[in-house]
Amino acid sequence: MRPLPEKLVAPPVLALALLLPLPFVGISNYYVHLGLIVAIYMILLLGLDIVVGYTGETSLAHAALFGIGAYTAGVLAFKLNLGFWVALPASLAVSALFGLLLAIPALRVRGPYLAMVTAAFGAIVQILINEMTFLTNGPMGIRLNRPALLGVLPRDREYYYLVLALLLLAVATVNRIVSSSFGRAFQALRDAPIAADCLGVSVWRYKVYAFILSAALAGLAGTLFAYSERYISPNTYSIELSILFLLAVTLGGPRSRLGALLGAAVVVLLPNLLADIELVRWIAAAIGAVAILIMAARVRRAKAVTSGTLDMPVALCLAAWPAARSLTSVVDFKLTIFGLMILFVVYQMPEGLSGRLFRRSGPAAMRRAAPAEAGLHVVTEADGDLLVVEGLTRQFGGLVALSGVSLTVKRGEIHGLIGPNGSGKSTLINVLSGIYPPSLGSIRFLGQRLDGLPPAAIARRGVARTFQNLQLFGEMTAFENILVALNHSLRGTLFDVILGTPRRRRSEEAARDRATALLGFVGLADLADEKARNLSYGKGRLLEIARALALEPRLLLLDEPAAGLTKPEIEALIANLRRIRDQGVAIVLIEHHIDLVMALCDVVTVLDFGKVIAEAEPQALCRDQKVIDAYLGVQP
Amino acid sequence: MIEVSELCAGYDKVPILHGLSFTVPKGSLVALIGANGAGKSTTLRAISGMIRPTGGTVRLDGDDITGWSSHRVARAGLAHIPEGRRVFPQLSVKDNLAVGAFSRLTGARARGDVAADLDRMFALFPRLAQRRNQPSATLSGGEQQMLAIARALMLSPSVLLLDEPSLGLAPKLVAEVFEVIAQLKAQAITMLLVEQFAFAALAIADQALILENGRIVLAGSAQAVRDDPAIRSAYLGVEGTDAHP
Amino acid sequence: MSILTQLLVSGMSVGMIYAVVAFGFQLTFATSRTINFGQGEALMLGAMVGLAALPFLGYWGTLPLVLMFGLCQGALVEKLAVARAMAAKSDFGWVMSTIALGVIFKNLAENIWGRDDMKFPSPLPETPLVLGGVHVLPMELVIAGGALMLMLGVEAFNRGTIWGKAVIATANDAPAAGLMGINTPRVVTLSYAMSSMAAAFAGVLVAPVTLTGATMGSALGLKAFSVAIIGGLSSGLGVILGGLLLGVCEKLTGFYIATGYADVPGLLLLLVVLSLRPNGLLGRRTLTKV
Repeated sequence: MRPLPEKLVAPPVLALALLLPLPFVGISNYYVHLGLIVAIYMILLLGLDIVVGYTGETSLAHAALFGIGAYTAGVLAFKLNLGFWVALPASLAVSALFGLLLAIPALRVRGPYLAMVTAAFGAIVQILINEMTFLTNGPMGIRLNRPALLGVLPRDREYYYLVLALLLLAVATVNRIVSSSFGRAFQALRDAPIAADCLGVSVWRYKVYAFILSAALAGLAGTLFAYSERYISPNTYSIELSILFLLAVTLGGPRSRLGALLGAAVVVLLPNLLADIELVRWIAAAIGAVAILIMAARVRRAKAVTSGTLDMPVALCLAAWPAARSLTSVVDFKLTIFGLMILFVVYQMPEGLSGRLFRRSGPAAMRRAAPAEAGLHVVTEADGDLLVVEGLTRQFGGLVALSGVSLTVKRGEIHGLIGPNGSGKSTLINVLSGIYPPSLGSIRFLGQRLDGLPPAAIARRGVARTFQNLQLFGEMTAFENILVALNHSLRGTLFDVILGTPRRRRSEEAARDRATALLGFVGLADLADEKARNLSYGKGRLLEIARALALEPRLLLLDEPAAGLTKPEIEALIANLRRIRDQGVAIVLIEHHIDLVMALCDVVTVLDFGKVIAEAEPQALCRDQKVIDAYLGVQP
Repeated sequence: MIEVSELCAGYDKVPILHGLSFTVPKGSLVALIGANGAGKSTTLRAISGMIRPTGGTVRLDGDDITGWSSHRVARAGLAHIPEGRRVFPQLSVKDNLAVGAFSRLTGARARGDVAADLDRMFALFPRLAQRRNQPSATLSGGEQQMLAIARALMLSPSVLLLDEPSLGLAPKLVAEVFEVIAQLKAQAITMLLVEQFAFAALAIADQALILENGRIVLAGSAQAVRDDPAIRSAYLGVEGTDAHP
Repeated sequence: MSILTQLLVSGMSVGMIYAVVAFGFQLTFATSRTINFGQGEALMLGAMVGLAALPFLGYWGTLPLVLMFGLCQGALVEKLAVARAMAAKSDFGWVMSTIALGVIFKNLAENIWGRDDMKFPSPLPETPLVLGGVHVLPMELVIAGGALMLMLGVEAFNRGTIWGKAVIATANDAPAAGLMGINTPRVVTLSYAMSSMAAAFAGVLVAPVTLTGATMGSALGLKAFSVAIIGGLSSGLGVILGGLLLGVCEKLTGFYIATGYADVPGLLLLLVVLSLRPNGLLGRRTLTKV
């Protein structure tokens, strides 16, 4: 199905169009209340999307964070008699704090383990809410009264507009944040966390930001929910609710405000839909009919009935109508239906409703032309030793990958690093860039010790690197990849981002100019808006180099930059590396292409079995017997 | 025998092999040599099914096995001893060998006499016999290489692919490994041997192929290739003959 | 003093249940680097199926039925939720899908058997034996014995049969196992089948001494997972020790603090263990090749 262009129905406009006139459509209070819940859920989903859609993690804690917000309001009312206007800022603060608490055990874990951490956190919070009856009144719950607005006690309609106003504020704020360097940093965490660290974007720090923001929004939603329902109790904030939120955010579609709206609408309205059994039967019949059509199309395409004609999703769709007919009530199966929807979304529609229905236009290519050289920085210090490595040893259990390696890189030098398979070249680069600390030995850069520092700190000191297996931020464009590396040059805090202050905007413009120039330098200007994962291998390599240059490094570590490149691409690479060297940047180059090493390097270090066996100018090395033996083997 | 035609393969989007064509005749030992990154291991993986070729065909004894998954290729009688040995550390020596005969024990291949083959392996590799009940993780590098070879032989293969058997081994052990390979050659098992250390491989092979950047740049009898100066340029980018007496 | 010993003893039998479920986690993780987030529901289904079949087969007769059921349920989970995600190399895929299946199973169980907890008739007399001044339910002894037997049985299978060795080979090095002619996707299905079998068995073991209902598995998966992490990839003994430790902690917390807090030690343990060992079941640091 051809997606509609998003320009036609821009999300905020759509959101307004759907939500604004709701209470005026003359529908009953019941539906206004549903709209209220949709709006509240949408606020929470905006926050959950930051964790799920942007940093790419699964959180099962959001119902608990929702509950924290609700119970902040509840406890303030129950124990301190403080009302709505105190609860709002308080819940933001308390939820943000819990978001920080959650982030701490979550820092070092990813994927399924992070999901577990969040699930455990959520379960503990629910238990605490239930058990600490002196604070929360336990299972008996807490009653709340809505605040007086302009002297009048608001009914659902008035409260709805209040919530809507906060929702629009939340949408605007989240929009600002995710389209800024923060949004890009979050996505960098998802796509290539190791590269993010090596580009100065600290994975830990941004994870904490993401969790705090996400929790604050969930807490806000919780407070609004508490005052909407005017009664809260612990069993609402269970893991089932967290799973429901996950369904909503994935069904709606990741990284989309419209997706948050669609997801919230579906999960809130669906149970009501299910209550009408006749309607359900009609829908099930329609689903069955669609399944039959799909099967017919498959048979026609394959010209026969094969095993692929009837697969699991189609079979389930066919079963929908008989199942609906045989049941008198579907409401009890609400969770089963939600579970099936999750399966459907995960396998058939990972881009969600918003991705399937509306084609995303790429980020607006607002760029000014800039001369290529504007991207390159110039290193002006006098000659001398830039990098001094002494006695570097790295052990992994029993395996000694590096043993007593010493080498020196002078400013403005191109230093080759060669050796047979398994000789430790990549390990050396990994230790230099901070991915592993050395077991023994020291690394001095511009006189200061680098060993033991985390990769983000080393990157900020002026050491940049590329990777043997490309570590691009695949889902972001080439332009955005470079922007991530320019995070360090942006002025201002999160508040500057949200408010859009002039000093922030100025430094963002400067960064965009630099990124354009760097893309031009490596010849990728016309691919600026292409997703990095769509780039060919050779172009991806160039992008990695441009990205590393964005750090304004004094030392560039390149791990097999020519691997997989065609001859003309290698020529271009040589030219680029020479220009980089001419700007004063020193380069350490791991390479197997001997012709490249010969053409470029001033000096070459040869590793074998983790030890340095030779270091000389390239020409001298080919005649060195030790080197020949290491590569070709001893002649028997 | 193995027939490879216009084989293309790579990882993710990186193309490594660009249209290889060669034949490993029945009963012969062909050496595939070349510098790092040339694509030697990739070639073996594309043949044995560890990776899926992106183009071209692979034939085993006349049957088209292109794109088959690795367990299917193994059941057809092609054994691949992967780079780095990769014995199963939690299984004993004996169990590693038993697993090598998995397809025979489960009926996917002709069963034959597995117990007799097991005894034969222990006779061929006495050090393994000594350690038959030890977990294979406790074996030295050289012993693990022997185990990997024996394990592959338990498949009763018609073709054997060996990926850098000398990797990480001290010279003395390398010599022992090559002695075993020579014995296998004497039994006329078809073999394709990948080695980074060219001279040892060339000394024992019938034919040789030199791979450079995913293409075959030289093919011929092992003797002819050994004496060709092109071998040095493939590795070190230097023309000339001065390096060795 | 005798209360303390009492708590220790009953904690140990619950701990054996955790050990068995954790053992199941190890099985699937070893071969596929995935786990079933709905493992708790597998335990619950085992108990419910056992309860349903009880009038027809008697307790000892339902055991083999429950084992078979577990095998089938595990294979189903793998086919529906895991296989596709593994092919797509998507962690999110199998995490969400196994969660979804867990939700579905629980909801179906609620509809079939109702939401209330039920009493599972104990096959053994419910009067406690008095051993050394400590009251032990006969069923608790059966739990400990049954759990051990199951784990030993699976170990025997792994060590003794060629299929079991194929499972170990796949767990050690899946691509190399493929080179041996082992159909590794099928091994993954087998490991899921055995994992659910273990959980289902645990369910029908523990049902007589606890409340049986659709919600009995809910928090269990998380807590058992921390035990699996302590046990590490291959240590059955570690899993038993971890399970015993957790079971005892829970009983002590439940008694001395409040029953509502009983789940907290397990959950905290998970947080602590994952903070210390972020690679979870892999134990040693994974070397990411960059």
